Amino acid sequence: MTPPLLAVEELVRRYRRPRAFPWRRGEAVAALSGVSFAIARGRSLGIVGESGSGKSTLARLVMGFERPDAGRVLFMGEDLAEAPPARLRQLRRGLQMVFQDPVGSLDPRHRVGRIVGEPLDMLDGAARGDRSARVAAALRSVGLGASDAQRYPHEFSGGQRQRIAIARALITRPALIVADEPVSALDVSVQAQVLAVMKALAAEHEVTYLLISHDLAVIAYVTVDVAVMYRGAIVETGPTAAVLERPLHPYSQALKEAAPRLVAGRRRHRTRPAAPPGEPAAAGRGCAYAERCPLAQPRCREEAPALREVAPGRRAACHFP
Amino acid sequence: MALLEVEALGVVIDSPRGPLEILRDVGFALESGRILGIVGESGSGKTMTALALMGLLPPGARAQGSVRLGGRELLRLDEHALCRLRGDRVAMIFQEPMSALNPLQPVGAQIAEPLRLHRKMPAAKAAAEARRLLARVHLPDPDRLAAAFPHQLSGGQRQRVMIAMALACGPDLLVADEPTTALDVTVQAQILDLLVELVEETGMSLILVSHDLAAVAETADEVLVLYGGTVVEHAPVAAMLRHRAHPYTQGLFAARPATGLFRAIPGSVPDLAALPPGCRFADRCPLAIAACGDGPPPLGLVGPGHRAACIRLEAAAATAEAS
Repeated sequence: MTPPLLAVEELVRRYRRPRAFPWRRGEAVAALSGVSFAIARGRSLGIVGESGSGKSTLARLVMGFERPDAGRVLFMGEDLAEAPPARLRQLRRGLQMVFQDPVGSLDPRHRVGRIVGEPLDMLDGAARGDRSARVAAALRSVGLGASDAQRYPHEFSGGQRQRIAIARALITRPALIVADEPVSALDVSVQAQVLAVMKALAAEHEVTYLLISHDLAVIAYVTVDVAVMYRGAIVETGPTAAVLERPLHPYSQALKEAAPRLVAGRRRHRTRPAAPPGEPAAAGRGCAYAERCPLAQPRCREEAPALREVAPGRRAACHFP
Repeated sequence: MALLEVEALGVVIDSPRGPLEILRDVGFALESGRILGIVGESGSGKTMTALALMGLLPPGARAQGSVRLGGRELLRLDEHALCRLRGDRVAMIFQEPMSALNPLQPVGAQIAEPLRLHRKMPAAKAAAEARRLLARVHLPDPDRLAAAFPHQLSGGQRQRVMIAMALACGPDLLVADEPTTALDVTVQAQILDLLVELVEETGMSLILVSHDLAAVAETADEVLVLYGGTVVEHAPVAAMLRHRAHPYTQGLFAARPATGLFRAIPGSVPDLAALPPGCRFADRCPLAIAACGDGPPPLGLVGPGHRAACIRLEAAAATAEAS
């Protein structure tokens, strides 16, 4: 059996807070506490969560920018952290990233051709031969022209710059692209340009995405499966359409309810529910969401729920889904 | 008479190539207890509109036209008179509460400041009022929180503190410039709910400036859509959700992934240094004809209280019908 494109096993990453007193060590905080999932080829996965949920830490660990404190990241069955340097370079071709900020991620002093072609430089000589043709092809795949290679990043709009960043990711013909909030810095009227390019590449170039976004509509458009993260753990996962249609975890439900909708005056003239009690879980025990959960029971503050199958193809970490 | 009457409001900045009209001919009236949403993308002039209303334009920018609050012309007030007005009758909250709060002062003292300044309230009384305001914006444990510094609070809590400060003197008008953009989705919903609740209880008016069409639609009573420094459409929210009259508004709706259509508007937002003499959306508009470049399109009536600035409204209505 072929291994999944990407498998993440029990990933843990802790950071130390800045020390409160010079003679004390900073407190350790788990940004990720045991995250596992697998992505099969062609089944792009969306990661949804708010700030502090660990979604960007997850991206950095998958890319190998940082080492996990525990757990493994397997790309096509191989652990990037264990691979010898030559093998790592080979594997790296298959794994690329697109960042949130299309201004900061492109070197303003380099022409677009050099920026887009740069990932080729770390490949072996054979692949480098047809560099300008490869750059032109990558630019065309994202809806830009071959002549754009001669221009500088500042000559392009935000949406075009983000497509240049995608062309750079695409040039090594990767199997997986990690995209961390790829459209959230863009104006609404041009987000569609970038998302349409991403979706077309999934079909034409067999690219699979690990797409991180806070925007449920973006996740719904690009991905097949989704994982909802809260405070360093996955609280719900399943097929994107089903999860967004009928979320099972109370946190996923809160996310869906909070997302702005084109409904005139939805927030106007209505009775507001009293704020949830906000009783925190006992230290180190219980469900991390219990203090915000409107449905929390005494058991939720005592015993952490495991991520388990609650309906066919649907998993949620909740005692009362 | 409406609380706020804005007529032919414009903002001009000086550039090496001469004066630039970055905001042109903005007009609306806002009644007490009503919420106006101002929607636009980057460079649309939405923040400039808010700053011009508050008399807070950056150096080098001049406001023209008329802004009347309770019948009083604000654009001709001197800085001293404006200072007495701001934080008292009109208040503003910003996108990033961290940079709007003083990092070296406990938040209770910052909320008390407008009361001491405008109401000449004694310190102890102002401090007690600050704690009441913290409770008013639903912050838990106001006594403890009043002594906290901004960095000890979360983003949502900081924005609540900003709102408490803005409310201190019971303003007639609150201007909120992207108040939830820096916040998480669930916190954003809570802050919008809080703003609506305060409008409904105090009867003040709210101007909500946002890039997020949906956030404005579910919060405001009417909406002003800006593009390239001009008003392209102005309508009650419900009317605009039924019928988008202007091609830009139609494009903005279709550009949301949540809609079935989902297509980008070609091109990008206009460069304020090179604005065309005619319709500022013409170069991206699927319905543009040569006449669109002749001059600024007038705001035409398309329904009760519903106006759009386009000379191709009939063609636009036909495309809206077809899609």
